[in-house]
Amino acid sequence: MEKIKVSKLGEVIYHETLENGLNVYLYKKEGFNKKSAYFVTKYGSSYNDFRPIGKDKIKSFPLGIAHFLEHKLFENSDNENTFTKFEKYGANVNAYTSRKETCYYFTCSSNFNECLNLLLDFVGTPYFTIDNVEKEKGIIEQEINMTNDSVERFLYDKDFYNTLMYDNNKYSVIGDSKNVRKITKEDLYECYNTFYNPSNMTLVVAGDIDVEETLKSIKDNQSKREYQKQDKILLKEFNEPKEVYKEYEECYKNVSTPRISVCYKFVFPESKGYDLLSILMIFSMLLDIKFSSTSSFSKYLRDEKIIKSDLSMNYSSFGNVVLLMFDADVLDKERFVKELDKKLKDENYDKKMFELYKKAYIASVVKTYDSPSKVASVIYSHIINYGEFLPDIYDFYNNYTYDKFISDVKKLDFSNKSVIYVTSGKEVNNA
Amino acid sequence: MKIVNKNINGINVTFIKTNKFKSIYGSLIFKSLVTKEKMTYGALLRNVLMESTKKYDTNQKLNINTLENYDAYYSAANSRIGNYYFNKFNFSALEDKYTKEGNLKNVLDTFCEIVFNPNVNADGFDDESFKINHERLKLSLEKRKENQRSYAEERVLKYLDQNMPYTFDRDVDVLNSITKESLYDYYKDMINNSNVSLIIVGNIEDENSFNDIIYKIKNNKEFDKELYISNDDLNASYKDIKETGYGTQNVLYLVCYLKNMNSYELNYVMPIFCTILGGSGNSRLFDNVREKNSLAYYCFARLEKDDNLLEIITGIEKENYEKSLKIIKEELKKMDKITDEEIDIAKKELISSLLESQDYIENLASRYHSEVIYDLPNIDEFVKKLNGVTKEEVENINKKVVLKLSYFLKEGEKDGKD
Repeated sequence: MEKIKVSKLGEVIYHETLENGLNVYLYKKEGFNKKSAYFVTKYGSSYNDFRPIGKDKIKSFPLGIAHFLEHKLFENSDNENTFTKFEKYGANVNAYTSRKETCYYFTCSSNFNECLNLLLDFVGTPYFTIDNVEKEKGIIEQEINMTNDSVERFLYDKDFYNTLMYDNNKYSVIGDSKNVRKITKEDLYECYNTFYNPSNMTLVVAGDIDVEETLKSIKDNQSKREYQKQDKILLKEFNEPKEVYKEYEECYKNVSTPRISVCYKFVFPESKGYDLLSILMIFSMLLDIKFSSTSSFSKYLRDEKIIKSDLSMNYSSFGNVVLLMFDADVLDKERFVKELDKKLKDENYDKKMFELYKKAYIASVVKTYDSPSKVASVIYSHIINYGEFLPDIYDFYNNYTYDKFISDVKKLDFSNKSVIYVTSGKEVNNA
Repeated sequence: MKIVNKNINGINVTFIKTNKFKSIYGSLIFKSLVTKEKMTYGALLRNVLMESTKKYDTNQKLNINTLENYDAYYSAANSRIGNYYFNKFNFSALEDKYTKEGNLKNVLDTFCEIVFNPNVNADGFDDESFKINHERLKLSLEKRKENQRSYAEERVLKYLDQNMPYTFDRDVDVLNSITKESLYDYYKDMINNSNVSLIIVGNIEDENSFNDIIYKIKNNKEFDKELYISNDDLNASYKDIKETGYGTQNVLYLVCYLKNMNSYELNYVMPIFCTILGGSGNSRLFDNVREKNSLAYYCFARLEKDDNLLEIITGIEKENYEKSLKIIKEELKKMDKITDEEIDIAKKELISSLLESQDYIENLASRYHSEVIYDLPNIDEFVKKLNGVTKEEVENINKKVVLKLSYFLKEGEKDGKD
């Protein structure tokens, strides 16, 4: 078992890759009641065109199938509800699907090994029938209705749709009713068999656990299963250009105040690990120094009657693309876009603020270790986002220099963007 | 973990000493009797206080100070619990050994600035801090219409007895009447006419470090009104309301009165009842409304014990309204028969989530606060008592759960106009 030392904090993470390819990480923290496990596959809604295991050709699947599959894995051949199985041990089980991953997890305060086996068993044993697949469609349509009520969610998804030309990240995680209705049990098995192979998965366990005993229990469980040997999963490649799909769109929703979103698109050479973190640091620092609550930009926009209250901002990365998103309740949409452009192209960055944010990032690494389950989610998020766990992130932040940031941020090209303006009025079919 | 209670300067101060975390957390709580106006005043005040202080007179300066203190965290929250209103101000800071000597002191100084040295002038609160937060609150109240579930939560209150404090809500008309002067009067009233308590959690080396907070309080008031709101004397005749909202979801919202329940039943029996009915993915409502009939993505029950209310909320298709309501009513009726397994699972779930919650520093403070206001024993005793609840007690309590209101908020017209 490999011992990974977390720099500066005296914390240790244990790691082992099992014979079947499953990557297991264990974090022991004494004195905590909560024990948790996260079983994650590198398969989210954007993995929609791929060569199914044992097949020759790349195939396209209905949008939203990764999320649908997540729901259906809770189905068991013994007809006992998966939630009930966990709750018998006082444990809570749940799952989520994003564009990049699907994660199944539980938390408990006792009966940990039993729950861990339940998790590995239910994720490892699909049971799809025509009836249970049909039954799920009504439930997911209700979930789609629920998410349709959120303007923020609408804008977030629309940013992806309007900036990306070809990449499957363009589409929302949940899909739409039309696609959801097309999903069959055969589709689900093809997706499952391709992406739920242990070599494509990570298991992270955290809490006051016995490391050796837990690892043994995982190995025992996995040794009972047989998996088809998996070569590299072949995904359809999208040569995503730097240009956006749609530069401007006006949409109609039930909003009390018009809302605007501006999304900038950047394309980088594909990278992983600390190299990718270096790229993303440019965006974190840029947003924090220029646009966060320690800057005067929001106040300026309010004083100038350009926005109504606050500016929200975010960035998202996948493959070789980064999207930088801003949204606000807007009073003057043209000036909003103009002022954003101006601010982004201004190359002055306050060095004092850079150093303060560096200090805050370091503090956030320390704070993570106040919660074992937070540590677990950091581990698997690193694996999904950076391709590996980054134990030296404290040192990375500590050694990150202002000069490096300035040299990188100056290279950014802010000319590719998409603007979405949402106002109340006649509802149209919003893609 | 060791809990030390002290009365210092007339204030109840609790130190929860634990080495579990790398941070120190504190919560300063102002308790007073609730009024309808306070719901809006309190919501505005907390944000105005967090916006700027006399020393850090802009939000930008205040936020830069938090970064200087190693990204210290300050927050403020309001809540109504039964007949009382609580204004809570919290801080969290990394221990000095992870930052630098004196960091905690700096964080406490800023915390005192936020709570006790507001950005006021002769006319009341600073104009800029007042205006922006007034606007933000107004927008957030207007935006409730954008989400069917939050709009349903707002609308359902209109159909309950308007004298009951659980119908008090943040209100645009009250907000429009608030001035920077009247808000400052409310602030002074909170500081001078509240019951104040302080809870500190973490690796506390010197209890005196927190004296600056404690000695800022000049007056500590006691209140003797019952915490729980009683619906015992209210007319429980059933009402069925349907309205049209603005979004795409159809929300069915049921409210039950809990009649003649004592605090044992509210704190130990009802949580089990609620968990079995609609508290989890194993509950009767989840199983029957979602899993067996595919009618909803979510369907759950929520216990508001301080209000003596039980609520059931689900998002459904418009045409499934009758069927969903029928199933929920049937499940409510059937709660007079509980299996041993159901009660066993519910107890395990409640105990496990209580124990798990104790792994978060802020939850140690909030749990302790709950023990004080609900007069509950410590966790070990609480768990013992919860485990002692019998099947008969849960079955019998069903008679005291009376369905008062069914409220259905239908999807809006497709043109999306107000």
